[in-house]
Amino acid sequence: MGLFIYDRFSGSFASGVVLAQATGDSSQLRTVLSGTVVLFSVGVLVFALTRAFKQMPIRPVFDYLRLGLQIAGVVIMAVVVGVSSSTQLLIWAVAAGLVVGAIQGRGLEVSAGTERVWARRSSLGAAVWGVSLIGMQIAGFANRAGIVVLGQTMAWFAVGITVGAMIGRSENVRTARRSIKPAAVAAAVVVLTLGAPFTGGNVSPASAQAAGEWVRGPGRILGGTPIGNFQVSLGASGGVVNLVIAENPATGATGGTLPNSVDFGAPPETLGPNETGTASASVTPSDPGAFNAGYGPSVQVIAEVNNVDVNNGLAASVKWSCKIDNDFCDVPPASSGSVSFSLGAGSSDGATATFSWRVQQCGDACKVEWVYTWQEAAPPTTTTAAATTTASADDDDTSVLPLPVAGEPGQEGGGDSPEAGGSSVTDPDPRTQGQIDIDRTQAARQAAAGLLVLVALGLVNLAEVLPLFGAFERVSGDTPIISSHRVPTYDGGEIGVIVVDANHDGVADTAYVDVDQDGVIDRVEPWTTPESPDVGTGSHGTFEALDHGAVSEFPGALPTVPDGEPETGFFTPDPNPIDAESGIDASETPAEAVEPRVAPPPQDFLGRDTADTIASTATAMQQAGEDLDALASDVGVPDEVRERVRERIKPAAERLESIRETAERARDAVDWAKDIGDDTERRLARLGVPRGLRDGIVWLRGMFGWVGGIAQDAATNYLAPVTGSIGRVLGMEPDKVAEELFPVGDFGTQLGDMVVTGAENIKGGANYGGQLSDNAGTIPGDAGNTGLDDIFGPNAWGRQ
Amino acid sequence: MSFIENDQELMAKVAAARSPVEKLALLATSALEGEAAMRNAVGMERAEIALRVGATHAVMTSETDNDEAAEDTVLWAGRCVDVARHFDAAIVYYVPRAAALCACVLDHLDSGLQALVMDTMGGWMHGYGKALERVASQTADADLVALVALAAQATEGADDLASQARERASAGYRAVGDFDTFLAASSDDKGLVGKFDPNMPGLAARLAKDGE
Repeated sequence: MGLFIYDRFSGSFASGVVLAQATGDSSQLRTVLSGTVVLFSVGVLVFALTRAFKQMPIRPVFDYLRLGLQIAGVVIMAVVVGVSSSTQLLIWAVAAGLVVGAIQGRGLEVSAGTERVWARRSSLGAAVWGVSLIGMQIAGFANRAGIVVLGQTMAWFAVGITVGAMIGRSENVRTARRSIKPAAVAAAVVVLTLGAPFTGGNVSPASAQAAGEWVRGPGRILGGTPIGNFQVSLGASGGVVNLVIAENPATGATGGTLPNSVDFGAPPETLGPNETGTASASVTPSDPGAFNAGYGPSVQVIAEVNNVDVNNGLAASVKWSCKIDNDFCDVPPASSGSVSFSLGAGSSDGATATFSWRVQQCGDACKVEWVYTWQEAAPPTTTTAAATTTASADDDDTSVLPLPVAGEPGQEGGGDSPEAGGSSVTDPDPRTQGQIDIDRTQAARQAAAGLLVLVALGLVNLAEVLPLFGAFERVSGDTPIISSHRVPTYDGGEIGVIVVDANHDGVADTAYVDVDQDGVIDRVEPWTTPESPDVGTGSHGTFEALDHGAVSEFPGALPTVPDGEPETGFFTPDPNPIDAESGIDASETPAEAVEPRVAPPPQDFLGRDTADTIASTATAMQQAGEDLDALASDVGVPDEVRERVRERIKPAAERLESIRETAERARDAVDWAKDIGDDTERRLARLGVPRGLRDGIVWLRGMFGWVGGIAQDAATNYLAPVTGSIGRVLGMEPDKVAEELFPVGDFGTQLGDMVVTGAENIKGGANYGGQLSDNAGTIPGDAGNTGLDDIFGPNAWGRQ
Repeated sequence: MSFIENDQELMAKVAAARSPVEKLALLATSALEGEAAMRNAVGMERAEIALRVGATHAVMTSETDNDEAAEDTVLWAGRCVDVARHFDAAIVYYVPRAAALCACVLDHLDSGLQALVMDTMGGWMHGYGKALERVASQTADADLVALVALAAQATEGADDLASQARERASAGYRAVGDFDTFLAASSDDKGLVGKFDPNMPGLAARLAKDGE
């Protein structure tokens, strides 16, 4: 009765899981089937993992049939074997499966062949798929081993994945499927936008939903302010191509001139069939300071259009290049590429393509990205191509792509749609109808998938239907149904490293390196001008790895740890004193050479000099001798006795090694703390982190080392409010920022353990406050609860 | 039994609790007891109580994922520092512990409060560093005077000098909150020796021998 169905998208073995779970209540059946399932699952798991990136055809009928069998298998086996599960657990399983499946579906790279559509997992999709696949198998094994009781949970999770994958991939499939149809398109509009000011990071994928397939290029860090919009609009109609270029200076950018040239054909700047033309525009600020603190980037864009033969339904192509130069980049970033798209036969059908270049100022840097979208739309009845206009540079919703067509309705479907009363005849935007079409198809598929799930669950337990409906709607509604992300034309190798003068001292000092050309800065490293920089990879050496490891000693720990405190925890000193040689390796901190503006450390940082002085036995003897003289004078000790005592001080000092050792330990700990402080200060100061936060971070970083280290993810979690904002400025992921700024290393202690351990140490410790009151009764300290304003806030105690 | 005595056993009770509800009840009850004890306490015991109540709220934050408890943790940690900040030994002992409690719950605070707490901990670091330096210096001074006391007590005819030095060292240890050494130095000579090297009993006698 082994019905095993392998879902190539979800990677699940639905019935296998059900069988395994079902046998939990039947020992004999369990023994036989469990062994079979384990062997089968392992074998298929390995087989499936080897085929993670294999391109496979998309067969909708087969997929829906398989989904039906999968659900039926789950329901039947649950009824036969009598396995039941918590309703809420099942709902969450399906919901989680939908989310995971949607991610997998979105991660599919869908391409159209001559007759069918093919899908291949992206790296992200494969990773999610692999993790969920292995996780499900582990969960199944854990269930069989009696570690957890999952019931039908994993089976319904698998169902959710299947449905989610179908939903997630639908947009890509739809787009790809259109390209294998005879396209009825003969008009194209290309908008090339340069420097649209926006404040966010990459363009939201959802913003391109209405435009069909879209491709996002890598983001890059540059200098300069938003320089404005460049738009190149390309419209094909009646066999000719119209190309217009325009530019909009950024708001407040008054110092620049924006020459504009268009060079092809005769006025009115049209291209006939098989003609090629080029449009170009550039910005050369006459007053660079007006753009950004003297950086004054110059930008040039060239849009080359080859109107191969629109009327015969062949293709049009656009070549573009962009170079953004300024006076501080040794290797000016540049990018170029080309894209071709089918326009189909006819002279008045709609197709829309959009290029969008954006330049974003981010503090001392600027981010540049490009977006390419295009869509063939259903044939509109209008006979004119979309009017060429410029996108609004003042669009408040800066995460949305500038729209290529004036008056274009919003992506949610505006009133211009036929359903909303708009006229399809006068609708100038072919994308509007395409969007409506997408919505209908999508809604139908979602409803069908949801109905299948609801019916199946209803067979198991009618009470589950309504909660599940809510969960399903919630998931499907929040999951943006977007198309695939690809970078087919971008030559990212041209921009591997961006060099920035972060501290405005006229010397390039920081390099942002995108090693894998994925648009995300992988590391930030000090910059020194190389003799022959590796432009291809942007590699200029590695970023300093200042990881002091699990330093478990900190100034103050030694003299304050009460006797009897547990050996592990917050404030317990390391039984093995810090090894200054290995813990503080001068070779780890080459950043000194690239951060000349770092303020010198205090002369006596945390009493370091004091500790250093004490560490000298000779000095200790000398000072003790001075104390002896003072005491002898006070008491009236004869000189002879005083000299005999003085003679004994030397052997006493030599015997009392603990004085020196304690002092040395304190000195080393102070050195370590100072090193941490200096390094953190260096890293944060150049990032513009406010002084107060820098101090707090120094403390946190010291504490992380002090407590013996915590897991990196815990540090990331702690520092999210800081790393998030820094990451936004730098275009880096927050966890990358955390890794760079807080290299606490790999430790096993988790955050929860840290809280509990710390609390145990505090609560289990002696009543030190009582000792203070008893033994040092003259001390102040009953300030009441009215001083919190001095403790928290800008005038926080400690800096006063 | 006082709140502090109860609190010293609280974590064991929490660990033995059989359900999250029981744990929460224990913690909440302890927090209320701590608040009541705080109203009646005087002196540095207020810092001790505030720190323990803060730790209770930190555990509640961790156990129940309760953001309100996280804010209470920060509040009680601040009260602890508010009391302790007037005495160097108390600063050195309580401030890092209070700051650690704040750090433990940092991710449960909203972004505005997170920034405030981070900034506050920077100030605490400054105060802690200054207090630590003073305590280290005073401890070093006490150690050197204790060295004189040890040398003097092994010298015939220097009893008065030894006694005077021991008293001064003892006072120094008390000032920095090193009460173990303070009590040892106050009681007898061996205690003072033991402070420096507990593995060398009879050090004073050997010192006397070396000096001959």
